[in-house]
Amino acid sequence: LGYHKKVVDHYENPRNVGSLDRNAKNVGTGLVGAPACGDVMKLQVEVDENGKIVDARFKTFGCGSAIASSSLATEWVKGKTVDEALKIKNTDIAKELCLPPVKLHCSMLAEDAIKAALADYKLKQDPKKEEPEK
Amino acid sequence: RRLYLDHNATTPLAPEVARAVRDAMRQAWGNPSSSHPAGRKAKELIGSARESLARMVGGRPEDIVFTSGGTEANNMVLQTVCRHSQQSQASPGDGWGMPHVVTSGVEHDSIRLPLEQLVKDGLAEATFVAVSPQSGRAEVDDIIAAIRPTTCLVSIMLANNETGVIMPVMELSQRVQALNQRRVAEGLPRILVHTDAAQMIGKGCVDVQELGVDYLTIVGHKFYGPRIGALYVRGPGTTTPLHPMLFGGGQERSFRPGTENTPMIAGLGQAAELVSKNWEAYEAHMRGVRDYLEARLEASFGKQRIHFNSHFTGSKRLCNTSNFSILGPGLQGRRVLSHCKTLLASVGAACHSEKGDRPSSILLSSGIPYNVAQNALRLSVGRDTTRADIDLVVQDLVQAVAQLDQDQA
Repeated sequence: LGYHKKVVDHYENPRNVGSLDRNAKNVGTGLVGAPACGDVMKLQVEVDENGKIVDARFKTFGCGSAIASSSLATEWVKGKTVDEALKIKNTDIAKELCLPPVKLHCSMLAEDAIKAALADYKLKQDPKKEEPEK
Repeated sequence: RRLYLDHNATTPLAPEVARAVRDAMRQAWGNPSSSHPAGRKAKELIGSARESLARMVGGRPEDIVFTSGGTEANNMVLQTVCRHSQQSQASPGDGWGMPHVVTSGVEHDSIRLPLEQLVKDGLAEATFVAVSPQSGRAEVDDIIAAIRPTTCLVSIMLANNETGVIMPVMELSQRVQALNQRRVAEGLPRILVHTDAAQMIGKGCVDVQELGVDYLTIVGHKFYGPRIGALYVRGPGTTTPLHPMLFGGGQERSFRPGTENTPMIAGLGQAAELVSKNWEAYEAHMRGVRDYLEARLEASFGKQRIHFNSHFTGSKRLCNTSNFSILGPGLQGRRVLSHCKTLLASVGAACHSEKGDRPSSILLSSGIPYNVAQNALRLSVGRDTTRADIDLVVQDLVQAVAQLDQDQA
C-alpha cells in the first residue's frame, strides 16, 4: 500500500510549478501554512479583464499529498471565474486524489491557498475596501 | 506516537517559560525579603512578573496576589466574603443573617466544595443557579433573580472546562453594578463579583475593566505556565476586601504570606507575557483547528452518529474545546479512549477521572440526555495542535469505534 497513482503522477509530473509576477495588478498571491507544521503552499493566479483566471502557478514545501493537492488546485482554477474558483472545496480535491484520511488536511490547505490568492487579487482591485485586521 | 488533546486539563510549559523558571532557579534563589543583592534579584523578578500578570488582565500590579494556584485563589475569595460580612455587621444578632453567595451549578470543585463547606459550617448560605439547557449558560436573569438582601458575592466561571461554554460575566457585572447603586442607598451590602478565569486566559479576551469584576482567578498551568496562580483583586484591602487565609512573614503585603516561589512566579510572568502578545493568534489558530476537528468528525461518523455537546444556540464557546458523543451502545467515553492508540483526551474534568462510567453532572445539568452524556468525549486542542494531528486523531477514533462496534456484534 503506497501513494495513490494520481498523487504520484502530480509529484513526478507537477503541473504549473513556478511563479507569476506578484507585483502585477492582476496577479493574486496566496501563501498559507507554516514551516513548523511541515506544510507551506504558495499559489498564484493571473486574472484577465473579464474576471477569468487565465494562468496559475504553485510552489509547495511539503509531502507528496500536499504537492499533489496544490498542483491539482492550479489545474482546476484555470478557466474559472474568481467566484467559481472560490467554490472549490477541499473535499473535492481529496476525492479526486483519493487522499487517505491522514492526508486530508493537505487538501484543506490547498483550499486555503486558493482562497488566499483570490482574496489577495480582490484586494488589489479595490484597496479602499481593506478587510479590517482581525 | 501519542497526540495530546487534553489542554483543558493542563498544558506543558512553553519553552520560554521553562527557560525563565530554570534561569530563576539558578540565578535568583535568594530570599526576596533579604536586603542584599541575592534577595533583591529575586524581588525584582517577582515585581516584573507581577507587572506582566497585571498587564495580561488589564489591571494594576498592586491588584495581583500570587497564590499556589486556582484552588487557593478561589478559596481566598469565598473565605474573604464570609469573614468580611461577619466583620461589617454592626453587632452579632443584628438580624442580618449569614452572607449569601450566588454561583452556578457547573463551577469547578474549588468553588463548589468550599462553598458547600461554609454552608455546612453555618457560615454562609449559597444558591447554585442551574444553567439553561437551551444556552448551556448560567443566564444573567436567573442569577439576578437569586440575589437576596443578604447576598455579598456572585461567582460565575468565565468559561466552563467541560462544555467550553462562555458565561455572560460582563453583562452580569453591569447588572450587579446597577443593583449595587440602589443597594448602597438602602444600606444593603455591596455585591462583589468574582469570576474563575482558569480556562479563558490565553484562549480569548480577558480584561478586568471590560468584565467589570472585583475578583478574577488566574491559573498558570492552563496557559502554558507553571503550577501556581494568582488572584486579581480590584484594589485589595482598599476598594475590595481581601482577607488572608494564611498568617506569617508578611509577604504579598500579608495577603498571602510565605517565602515566595520565585522560579514559578518568574515562569508565570513569562507565560503572561506570551498571552498578552499572542492571545489573538492563539485563539484564531485553536479555533481553526477545533472547527476542522468537528468538520472531520461529522464527515467520518456522519451527522446522525455524532452529537456535539458543546453546541448551544446563541452561546459563545471556548476556541479550543469540543465536547461530543459518538452515539451507540458500548461507546462510553472512557471505553472509546481506552481503545485509542494515538489520542490522549478525557471525558470531562481531569479531577474526576476516577468516577467510572457515570456521566458528567455538568453535561447532565446542561440538558444532555443521560445515554448521550455517558458517551461524551472532551477534546481540547492546544497552540501547537495541527490539522495533520487532527487527521490522525480522527482516524484513531474511527478505528477505536470500529473495534468496539465489532465487539458489540
